[in-house]
Amino acid sequence: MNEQVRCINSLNRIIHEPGRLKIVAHLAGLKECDFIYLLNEIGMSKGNLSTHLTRLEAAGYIQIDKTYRGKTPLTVLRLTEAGHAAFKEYFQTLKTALNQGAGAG
Amino acid sequence: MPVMIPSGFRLDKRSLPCKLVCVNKDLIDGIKLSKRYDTGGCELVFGLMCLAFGFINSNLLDSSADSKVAEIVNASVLIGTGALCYWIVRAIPRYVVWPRMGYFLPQPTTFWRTSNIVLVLVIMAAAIGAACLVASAELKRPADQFNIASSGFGHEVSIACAIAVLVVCAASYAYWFLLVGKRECLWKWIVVVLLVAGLLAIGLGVHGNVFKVLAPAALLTGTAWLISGAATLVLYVRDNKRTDEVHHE
Repeated sequence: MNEQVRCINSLNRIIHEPGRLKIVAHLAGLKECDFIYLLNEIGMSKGNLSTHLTRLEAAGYIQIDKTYRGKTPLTVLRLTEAGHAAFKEYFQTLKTALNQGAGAG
Repeated sequence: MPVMIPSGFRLDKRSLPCKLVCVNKDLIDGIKLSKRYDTGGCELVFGLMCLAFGFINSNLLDSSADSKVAEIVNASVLIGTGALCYWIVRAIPRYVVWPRMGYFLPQPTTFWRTSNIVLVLVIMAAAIGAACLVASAELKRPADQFNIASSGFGHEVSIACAIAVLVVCAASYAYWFLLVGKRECLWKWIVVVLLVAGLLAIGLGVHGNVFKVLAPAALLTGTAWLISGAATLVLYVRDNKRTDEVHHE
C-alpha cells in the first residue's frame, strides 16, 4: 500500500462525508450561526441536515444551543475546539495525500 | 492526473472553503460564504460620511450672519451622520438579513492582511507626500503670507493635489468593487464610469485650489456610494425571501 493510499485511509471519516464536510467548512469560517442560515447555505433538506448535525455533535465537533430570539426558537450552532482541530488535521492529511500523488505523477 | 494544490497555500479560515474545490465538486457549488450577504450597508455608511464631509466643506452656511449657527449645524450634521451610520450597521443584519437568511456571526478577522497593509502604506505615503508639498509651498512663500486657504498653493501643486483627491475618490469605489468581492454585480461598473466622469467634470470645471475641489468631489462620491448601497439593499431584499414567507408557500 503506497503512501498516498495510506494518507487517504487515515482521513477522518466523520468529516470526510461531503455533507458533513460542507457543514464543518462553513462553521469553520464563522463564530456561530443558526439552523436556518446553514440550511440556506448548504442546500440540504431539514431532515438530512439534522442527521448530520447529530452525528457531528455526537463526535464532539459541534455545539448546538437551543434558545429563543424573542418568541422565535433559535438553534445556534458553532464548531468546538475539537472540531476546529479535527478539520485542520483533515485538511492537512488531504493536502499530504494529494501532494504525494502529484509528486508521483 | 492528481489535482495540484498551489504552493504557498496557507490554512486560513476565510480562504479554506475556496481551496476545497479540489475535494468534491459539490463544494464548488456549496461553499459560497460571502456573496449572498451583500446588503450594501458599508456603501450606505461610507456614502453618508462622504456627504457629511462634503456638506461641511462646502461652507453653505458661510453667508449666515452668525457663525455660531454654522458651527452648530455642522456639528449636528456630524453627530447625526454618526448616529445614522451606527444604526444602519446594526439594523440591516437584525431586520433585513436575519429574517431572510438566518442568523450568523462571522469570525473576527485580523485587519492586518496584505491588501490592507498595502492600502495603509499608500495612504500614509500620500499623506506624507502631501504634507511635504504643503511644507515646501509654505517655505517658499514670503513670511507675511501664512494663510494657506486664502493665498492658495502654487498653481501646479494645487492642481496636483486636486487630481489626487479626484483619483482617490474614484479609486476607492473601484477598489471596493473589484477587491471586496462585488464582481458579480456588473451594474456597479456603470457607477464606476459615472463617478469617474463626474469627478473629471469637477476637475475641469472647478478652478482654484484643491480646497474648492474637495466639497463637490465629496458630495458626488458620497452620492454615488449612497445610491450604490441603496440599490444593493433593494436588490437584496427583492432577491431573498423572508424565511417565514418561504415556509408558508
